[in-house]
Amino acid sequence: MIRHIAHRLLGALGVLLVVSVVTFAIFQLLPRVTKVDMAFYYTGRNTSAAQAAAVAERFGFDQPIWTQYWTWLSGIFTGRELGDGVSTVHCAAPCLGWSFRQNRSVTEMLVQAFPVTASIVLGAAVLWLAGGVATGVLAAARRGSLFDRGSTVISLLGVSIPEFFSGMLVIYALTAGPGWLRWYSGGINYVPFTDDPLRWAANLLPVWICLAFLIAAVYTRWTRAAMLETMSEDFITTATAKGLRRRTVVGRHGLRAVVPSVVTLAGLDLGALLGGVIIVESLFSFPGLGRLAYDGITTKDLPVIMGTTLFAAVLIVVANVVVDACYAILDPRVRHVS
Amino acid sequence: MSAESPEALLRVRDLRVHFPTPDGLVRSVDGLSFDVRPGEILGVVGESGSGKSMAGKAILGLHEQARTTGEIWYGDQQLVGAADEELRRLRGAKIAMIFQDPLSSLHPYFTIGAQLSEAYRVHRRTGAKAARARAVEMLSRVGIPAAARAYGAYPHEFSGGMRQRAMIAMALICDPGLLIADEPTTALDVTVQAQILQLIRDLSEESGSAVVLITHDLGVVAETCDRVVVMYAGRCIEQAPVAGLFERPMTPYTWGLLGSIPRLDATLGRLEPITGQPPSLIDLPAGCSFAPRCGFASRVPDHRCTTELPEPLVAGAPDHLARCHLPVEDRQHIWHTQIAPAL
Amino acid sequence: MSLLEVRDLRKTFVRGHGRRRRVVNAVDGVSFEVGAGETLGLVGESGCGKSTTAGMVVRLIEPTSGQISFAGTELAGRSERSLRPLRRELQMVFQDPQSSLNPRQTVGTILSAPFQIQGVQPDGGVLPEVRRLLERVGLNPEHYNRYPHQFSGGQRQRIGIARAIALRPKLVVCDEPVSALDVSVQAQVLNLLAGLQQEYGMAYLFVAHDLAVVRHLSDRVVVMYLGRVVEQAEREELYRSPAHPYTQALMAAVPRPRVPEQRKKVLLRGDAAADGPAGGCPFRPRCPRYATELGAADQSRCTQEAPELVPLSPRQSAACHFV
Repeated sequence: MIRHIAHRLLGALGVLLVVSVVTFAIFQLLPRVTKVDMAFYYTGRNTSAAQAAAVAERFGFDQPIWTQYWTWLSGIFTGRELGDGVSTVHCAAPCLGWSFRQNRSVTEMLVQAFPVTASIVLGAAVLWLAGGVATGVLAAARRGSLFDRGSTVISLLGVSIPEFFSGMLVIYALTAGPGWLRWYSGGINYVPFTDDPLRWAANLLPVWICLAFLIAAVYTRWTRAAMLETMSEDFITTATAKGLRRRTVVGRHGLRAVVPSVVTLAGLDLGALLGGVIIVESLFSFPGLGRLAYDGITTKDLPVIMGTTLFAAVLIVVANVVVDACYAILDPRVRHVS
Repeated sequence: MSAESPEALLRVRDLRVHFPTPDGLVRSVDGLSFDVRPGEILGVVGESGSGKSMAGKAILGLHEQARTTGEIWYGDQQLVGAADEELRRLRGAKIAMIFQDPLSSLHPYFTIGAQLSEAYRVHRRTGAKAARARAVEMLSRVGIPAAARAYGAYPHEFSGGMRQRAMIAMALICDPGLLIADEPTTALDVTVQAQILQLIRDLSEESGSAVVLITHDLGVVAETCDRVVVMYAGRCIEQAPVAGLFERPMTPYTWGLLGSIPRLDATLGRLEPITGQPPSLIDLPAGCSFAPRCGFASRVPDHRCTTELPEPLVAGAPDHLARCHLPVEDRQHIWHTQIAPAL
Repeated sequence: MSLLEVRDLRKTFVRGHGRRRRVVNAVDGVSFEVGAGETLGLVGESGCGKSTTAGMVVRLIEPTSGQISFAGTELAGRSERSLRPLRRELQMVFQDPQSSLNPRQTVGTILSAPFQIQGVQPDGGVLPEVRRLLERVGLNPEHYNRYPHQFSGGQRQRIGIARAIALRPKLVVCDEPVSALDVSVQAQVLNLLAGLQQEYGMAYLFVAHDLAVVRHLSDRVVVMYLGRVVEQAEREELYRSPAHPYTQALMAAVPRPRVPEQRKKVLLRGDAAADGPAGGCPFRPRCPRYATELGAADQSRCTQEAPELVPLSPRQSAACHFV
């Protein structure tokens, strides 16, 4: 078991190395980006060509690409000294770069934005898991019933309505809608949990619902399909033949069999979403990772884009390792083989 | 099909299990009647599509999509159309069932012990400790070594034979009066099959439980059962005590089955298989369902075989019933002069 | 010279990782011969390696070591490409006719494939030949444009047989060809196989778990247990007087469809665990002779020394220290 996980971790490290190379390469090797352009993207100021060339030299953009990569990679572990020709800043380890536009280290920006995204995603995950799985199980248990058909329609809506549309409706209704619905007349703003847990939850609730509705729809359909398949398995017939109550057959024997696949799905989704929920965060103006990445892109702040991309990739790799470990815990057959 | 036997444990009368499908109504079981007497091992034998497994599941009401009609009496309780809760209390407690593939029939994520205890606790209101003790007792009764350790094992850690033993332990944990064993040894090796059949026989004798053993293998029937029901196309075509069936089988279908089986104790030149295919269950032939494949149907005058369903009638011995239009004497003659010598 | 000669064939699989890693000898030094026109039965329970052996003979499975010589040509270690001409002479019938026929091809396409692959142009063209084949295996020749799912299980197995015999091979390897079929259909297919052999004179390597089916079709029989040959004999010798305690127990365990005489019989304990004991005779843990008849000195021979196959007569040999 421990061997198995160690094995997976080693593999994950390899993947991370590849991810860092690819992330670096994509942004360095973009066609039509000259060395001078690189300097421009890096500093982001209105520099003259001569100044930019000087910056390019300082930053080593004229160095071979592998040297540049190595400087960047080692900076993550040891920190770097960075200067734009006027002043020098120290970017402490783990240094993912320095945003000269905002004059802050990218790491610091990530650390600040992550709790916002985590608040959104984890809260929504509770809602979509509870709602989606429960609906899916009930729909499968009462296949063909009004509930089943209703949930199919609603989840179809959930999957097909984009969140920027439903999100805008929610924002409009809650902040500027009819009086009885205008619960957030002061606007929906992110409040850190440590400042005021109640207002944290209250302000996040619409965001959670907006995000969860979309994802729960996927989980409902997934769980329903998996449950229907499970309910035709032989061990379900055995459970019924033992004289177990229907709800034990469905809720214990049936549900237990689909848990590993739901956990897998949830783990991978969490990994992907924790890296930033660009649309929802931008819509609600919550300063999370998605918003950070979005702003980075619109202002051409290259260090920020690279930092958020790498961080999101790391989260996905970590999620994969965690999912593997969960699977080994949840499925005794995997546990014993490994 | 049998004469009224008031002492029967289970009485099945004119059972029909029909499945509506887009192609038409599939008549998996179509007018099946038989009795199970207390303590006996009744073999239900037939080829695939004969309805033997469908009938077994119908007894416990395990078909969700089927239209089941007819009568199934367990004591004075009628099971066809019984309320869900009434059936549930019966399942596992009075009538238990085991299946062909013990690996897929056990939940892969629960331990053997948890699955056994659960079966006990649902019918007996006992604590976890008592259920555990009972489960360990049952595991050792079915011959699983180190039962206390086996309690915590998962199904995949067992061999096929051990899994089927665990299934049997789980089925018998509440001392049911009837065990329905649906092809319990088909997925097992022949040496393990012999062990499991022996175990079923021993346990039935020990506890007095009756067993309905559903199988495709006439050899298994001969070595395990007391009486046998031969099914063809959803009906019982012949039923008799085991010795009677193998000494003087009274239907051309049973002759055909016996003639199809290669022998371990003799080298046969050529097998005498039944020709053709079993009928479609959507479009059953009028008259005797075996008539289209029967080599003797032409001997019966007036095309009765293809127009009129033969009733189950006593043939040869009082306990021996067969559906066939051929006169009994003719059948005895054919068996002794044509069929038996070739086997 | 035999048509097929298998010498010391081995196949090892590696299971698990790290400390749990172990090597399984699925086939552990198997040798046998099949003469032209004869049927060799290969019989044993699950995990005995009979199907792996069959797979290696047709090179669907790569042998770990050993020789397979077919019609004087060595098969082991040769490339797939250089084997292709030999495939014409060496065909296979699979257990499951459902999964061994492409569901998206008509029977006509399936049966004309061997001719196209081998570049054979039968007299009178491929289609008439396909129809002749269908008729020969007992199917309606007009059904060549139907798909496999439109046939019953027994009919599909007939199609599989027709494909195997299309090019008149010298050897057909049949891996459990009737075990998925009902008894009445099984008998039809067994009769078909026997009839085809008479007509075309090909040899069969017939792999099955059913001793009665093997008796019915085979001239000689090889009994396998945990990857080894425990007994090899002419049919009549084997079934009249099985020598190895495993063969004896196997035969005793087969239920017979006739009036029961005595029901209690000596049963073999346990089941063949995939990993038998290290060293010594692999059958020892279940062997009734070892458990009841042998003294301590004899027993230690069984635990230390793996028995070789020794001839008891010109027609029968067994791998047991105490036959």
